[in-house]
Amino acid sequence: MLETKNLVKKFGSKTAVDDISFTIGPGKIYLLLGPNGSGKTTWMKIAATLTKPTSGNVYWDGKPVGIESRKKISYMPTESYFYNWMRVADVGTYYSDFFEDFDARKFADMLAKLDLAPDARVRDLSSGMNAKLRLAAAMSRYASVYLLDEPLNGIDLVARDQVLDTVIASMTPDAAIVLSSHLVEEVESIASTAVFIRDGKILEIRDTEELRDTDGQSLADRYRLLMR
Amino acid sequence: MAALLKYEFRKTKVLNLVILIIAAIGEGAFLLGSVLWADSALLTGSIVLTCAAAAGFLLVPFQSADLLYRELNTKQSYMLFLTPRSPKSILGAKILTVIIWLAVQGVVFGIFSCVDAAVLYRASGATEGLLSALLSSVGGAGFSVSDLVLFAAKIIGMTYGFILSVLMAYFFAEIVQSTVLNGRKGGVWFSLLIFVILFIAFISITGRVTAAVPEAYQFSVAACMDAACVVLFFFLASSLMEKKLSV
Repeated sequence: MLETKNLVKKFGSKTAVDDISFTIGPGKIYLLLGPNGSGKTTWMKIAATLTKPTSGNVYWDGKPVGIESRKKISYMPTESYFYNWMRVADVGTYYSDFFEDFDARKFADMLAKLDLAPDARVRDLSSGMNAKLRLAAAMSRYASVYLLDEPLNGIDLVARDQVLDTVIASMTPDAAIVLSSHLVEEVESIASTAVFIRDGKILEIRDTEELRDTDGQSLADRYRLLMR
Repeated sequence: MAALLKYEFRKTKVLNLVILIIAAIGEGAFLLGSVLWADSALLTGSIVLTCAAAAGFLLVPFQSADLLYRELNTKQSYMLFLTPRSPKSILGAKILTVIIWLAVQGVVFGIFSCVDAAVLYRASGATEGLLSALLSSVGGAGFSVSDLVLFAAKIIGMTYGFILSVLMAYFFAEIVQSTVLNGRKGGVWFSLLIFVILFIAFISITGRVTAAVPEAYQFSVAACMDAACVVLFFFLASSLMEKKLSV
């Protein structure tokens, strides 16, 4: 589905992603775990075609990611990126105009669930509300892969449950969800596969159930062990 | 492309509407002055119309260049580059928006000019003989109104072609800047430097080529050079966006 092969990304002298290879398959929720600057966001941005790799690539259905993959991959960045003149409803209209798989009704339902007023101005939203809007926009698409970069950042405790419920509800046998988060304990319950990454390298890829059953470890335990 | 154009127009409509509204106010003052022979209204209207026309020609491409710079160097770039649209479509929509806005302004100011000329002609009680004398002073003996219209169209066409070639070169400079600097400081100056180099090169080449052809063909050759510049930088810019640009 989404295959990363020998991917390297350098920013000047710094290597953000250092020769990583792995595959994202359908029907699973992947959790990218790693400290700040480990390469999680860089990988997501390359997969979303916002950043060009230095060498290697990410492949969608056998072809390098590009215009065609953007039709199937839905990306939620950590940063606020909507046009300042937009209202919340305008974001939905924008996505409807550009993405065939965008469901305006689903977007409206999510806005209601996440307590976002359609006529609110984007520039007046708090960081948490902006995060909710980014999530609603990304998850209202019927994409094959959802890339959610720190979807729980800046979101209050109650809303986090709503976010995770939204993520789970979007899960289908044909889709894959990849999310990154520092709140390991909160997302552990929904993840099927954990990808541990540090200094641009993948340390290991583990099935969360297998980790629990075989090693008797939670993701948080494993994370602490690997990142020490 | 339709969706891209829709949002390019949305992003640029405020400035253009302000220019057109100011022009309409100037036109109102000019017509009032023409009919009532009120010198101050006539003068004010003339100044406002001239300034609005000049502002339109300068600010429309400037706004487009500024918009592209901000989109390339802030997170708002995600709005364009997450969509399943090619760099050619994205750039094409931007240049088409400028062309359409300039055309709209051209039509509006053209209509204003014709109305003003007609109103002044009637209000002044000028004779056809006086009009012929005025036209001759512009274009020589036998210069008619239709010749004047053609001449004006030529000048406007040349100006449009020049503006578009300059704008496309500046787009290319901005994309080079964004590719190389990737959001670091000094982007504006770097893109300005690249643009100045390209501009000097373009003017130099165009000057030498047009000087080498007979005068009758110089206008056509200059127009072709402008078109070639637009096409060249369009393909270079979109290729760079596709292969190298990270936002």
